[in-house]
Amino acid sequence: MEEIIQTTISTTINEVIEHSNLLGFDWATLVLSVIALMVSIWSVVWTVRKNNESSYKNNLYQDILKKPLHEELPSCIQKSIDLNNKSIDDLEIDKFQDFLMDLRRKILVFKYTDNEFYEEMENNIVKIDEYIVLISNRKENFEKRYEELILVVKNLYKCVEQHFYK
Amino acid sequence: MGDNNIIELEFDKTISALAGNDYGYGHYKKQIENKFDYNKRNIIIFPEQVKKVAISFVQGMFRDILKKIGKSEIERYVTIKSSSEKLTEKIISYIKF
Repeated sequence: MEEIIQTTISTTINEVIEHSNLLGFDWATLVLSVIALMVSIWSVVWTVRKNNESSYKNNLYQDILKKPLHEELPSCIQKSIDLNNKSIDDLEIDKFQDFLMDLRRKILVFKYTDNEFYEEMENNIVKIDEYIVLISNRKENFEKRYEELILVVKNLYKCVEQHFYK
Repeated sequence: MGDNNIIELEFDKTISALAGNDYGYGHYKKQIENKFDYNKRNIIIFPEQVKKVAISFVQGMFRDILKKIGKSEIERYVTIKSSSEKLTEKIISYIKF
């Protein structure tokens, strides 16, 4: 970071010297140059901070959510619910519930970094659990229950997308 | 903790899975609230027909009890029995989360 700031300062100073008229002192050019220098420094600091923040968020996503959301959740749905036959696999529903409970534990870190995001995730996970239990209860309204489930799953992904890419 | 207090839950015979916060709370009010004894170990028995229980149902059913007891003390006052050991463990993990 310090190296970047030093480079910015020396580049700006060199440009000022190159374009200034040293024989005839020009106050306007000096003031504009100082402003340009300050804007350059602020811009660098802001960019570096943003990159660090983005990197930290990216790490959280990779470590906690990537595998559950990219692999495990879609796989759970696929294995436990057969939409064509309107049937469910009891054992897979059990595993699905275990997965959701595990995900609840994993996202606890967000309770302390972003409670709003945590609450939304927690609510979505509990809702998904509710719908997979309901769908296993009775065959009637199977398609409706399945649609409701998928809607909540989509909400979950949207919530994550909004948090990490806002 | 003194004697045991047994509470056997009843549900519609066609229901094998319990879900929903309001549904859980409703059954707490109907089947547990007036029978629960804070001076005894309460054994809450889920009928054999119940094979699955959702987190939301447990949250609703035990909401008021947890307000009075707290998660760390719950196992002193509540024992769960159900159709399987795995289901019992699940219910307890939901209560204590």
